[in-house]
Amino acid sequence: MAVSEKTVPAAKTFTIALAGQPNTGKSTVFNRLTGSRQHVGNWPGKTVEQKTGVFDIAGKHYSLVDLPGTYSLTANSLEERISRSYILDERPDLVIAMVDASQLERSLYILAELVMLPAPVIMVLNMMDVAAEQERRIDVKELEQALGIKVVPMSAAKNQGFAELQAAIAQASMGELDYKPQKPGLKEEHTLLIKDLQQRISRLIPYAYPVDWAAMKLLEGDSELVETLRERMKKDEWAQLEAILGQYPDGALLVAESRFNWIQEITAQAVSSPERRRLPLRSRFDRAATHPLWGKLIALAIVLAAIMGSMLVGAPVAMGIMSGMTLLSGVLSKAMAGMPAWLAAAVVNGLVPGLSFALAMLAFVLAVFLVIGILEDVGYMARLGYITDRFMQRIGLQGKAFMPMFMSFCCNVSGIMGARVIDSWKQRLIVIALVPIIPCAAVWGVTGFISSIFFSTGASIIVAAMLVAVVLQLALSSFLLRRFVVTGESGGLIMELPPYHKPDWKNIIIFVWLRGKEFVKRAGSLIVLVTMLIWVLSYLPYGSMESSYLASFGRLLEPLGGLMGMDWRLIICLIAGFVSKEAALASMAVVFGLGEAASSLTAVLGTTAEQVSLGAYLATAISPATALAFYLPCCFPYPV
Amino acid sequence: MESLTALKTGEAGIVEKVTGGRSFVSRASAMGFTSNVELTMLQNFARGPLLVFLRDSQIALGRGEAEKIKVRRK
Repeated sequence: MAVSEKTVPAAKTFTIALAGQPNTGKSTVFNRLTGSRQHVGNWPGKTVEQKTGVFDIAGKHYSLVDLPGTYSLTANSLEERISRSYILDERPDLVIAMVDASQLERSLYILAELVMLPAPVIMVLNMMDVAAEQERRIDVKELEQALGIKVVPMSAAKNQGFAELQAAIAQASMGELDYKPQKPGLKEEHTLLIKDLQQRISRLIPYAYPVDWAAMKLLEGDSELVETLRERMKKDEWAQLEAILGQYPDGALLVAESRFNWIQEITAQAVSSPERRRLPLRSRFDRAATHPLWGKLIALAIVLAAIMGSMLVGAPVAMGIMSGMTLLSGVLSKAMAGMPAWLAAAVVNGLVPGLSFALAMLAFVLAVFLVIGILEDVGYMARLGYITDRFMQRIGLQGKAFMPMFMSFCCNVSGIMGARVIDSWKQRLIVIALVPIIPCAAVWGVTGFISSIFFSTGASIIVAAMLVAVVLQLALSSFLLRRFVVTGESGGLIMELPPYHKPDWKNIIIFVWLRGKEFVKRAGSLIVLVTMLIWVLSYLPYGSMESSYLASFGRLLEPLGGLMGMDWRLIICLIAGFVSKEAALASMAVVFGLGEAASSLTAVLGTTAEQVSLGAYLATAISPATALAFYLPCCFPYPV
Repeated sequence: MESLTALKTGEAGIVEKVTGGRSFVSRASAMGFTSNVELTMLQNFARGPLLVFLRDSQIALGRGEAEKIKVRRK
């Protein structure tokens, strides 16, 4: 049944939604269209990232919303709900559906869902170059006719097709594009069933829902729609409907099959491959990368290289910033000599160290995201998830959680921000809850440093033992979380391993830049605030640390901290660590004075240790370090 | 009719049924696992996740998930 609709020119800004499955080049198109005029935030009230942007074509203003990349639009995951309720409730003026020409059959699936929704759709057929390499010929005109919608061929990686896309968008905004989509229907034997369902629900579904779409979704067992109808229907009406649906336990399968049948009909004429490809051309590298043994070795090598790479980029920058800041505070304290003492002290001892720590953190965050961005862009990330899945299952997580967890050893914040790659909402929640257990690079630095002082040659054993302890604690916490907090079916592993691509540097740089901006806005300001607060508390009321509020608070807790061999100054740092580990280091810098942080720490621990017996000596050495690893730290990743 | 896990590396099969909870069936079918679709096992070691080729795509799935997909050998 073809419904004729015309795209209507809008008086307000023409709004476009970008939809498509993962790995179809959605972000490339988004970046090319909007350039740097984009904004990353969250969908209102959700933990899912939302990218929006604006662009102009021939003086006309357009706004673009990136919908989450999903394989379908059933209300299974948060992303799917977001995508479809955006289209249903916000009614974008146009939807751009990204489709991968080299994996046409599967990637058209989302189009089969999109054409059922009320917004007009144009299709971008990306990766035409890859399809050509596969000797697959696609007749775009024929495809357009079969679909009844505009199709724009594109090779995004080769920069081909963007002018055509812009032209199509401009046309659509003028109302010059015909939109007469062929919609997928169920097999003939189910026509009556669908008619019956439509009749039963037509007056009860929300106004924005097309009734033919809703009937199909109901047959699929869509949880959101079922809930709505159960609430709105009279008891006997609902019982009847439930009985009918009960006769089709395979409803979801029936509907999915009908969509793939629709896809086959559409592509039968327009697509010709010399011979239906049975097997993918798997390179030797990919064979090795997915092998249980070689794959693990490759993964280990790549991940270690990635961590070292990001450290190599991040550490010198961080060091540079720190020494630059020390210089700056020297210059500033001279320059501010004429000003009130408290103001100079606030800037030199409070603001500057705080800023320098935030900036040094930023260097690491950028470096980590550069690495994640590259691995994701070339398609290796999915292999990493596949190869680590078995190990991750043991601690109750899936393979996709590996990279964010691993990156947390570098920096918790980037780990939590990276948790967005996990598609199951429950898994993501568990990962976000677990990440703070992982001691980040800063803590490992402290740990390594402390153990090398007390155990010299045995230091590596202590560090290794702590690593084991962390993994065990992760497993235990994950078990407890899944048992008592985040219960219910957790999505098992089922994911696509996308073909490898050359890295698209422009994409990666925009990815890193946006994440950096987000970090500065949210976490960076918090770090500066915490250090300022600590400084204020350590300065008031008499302008000296020894007699400050902070010191009296720390001394109050000293009997408690004394059990762990800490004096009041370390206790303060530990308390600051509840807010963030980085803030703990930062406040250490404030409390002990910037340059002396490390040496004072040694001195403090050293003197305590000399006074006690050997057994207690060991306990003191381990406990501050383990305490740093085990206490519930880092509140500031949560706003992220 | 056997589970997908029974296919050895290199063997082809045809999907008969996808069992399991509604959410799994919906997820799996959106990835291309529907009745009568042909697939090839790309990698199946005795343990760990499997790698399958169907509808022009490589799909990785855990053993537990593969148990729920019933196939007949080709």
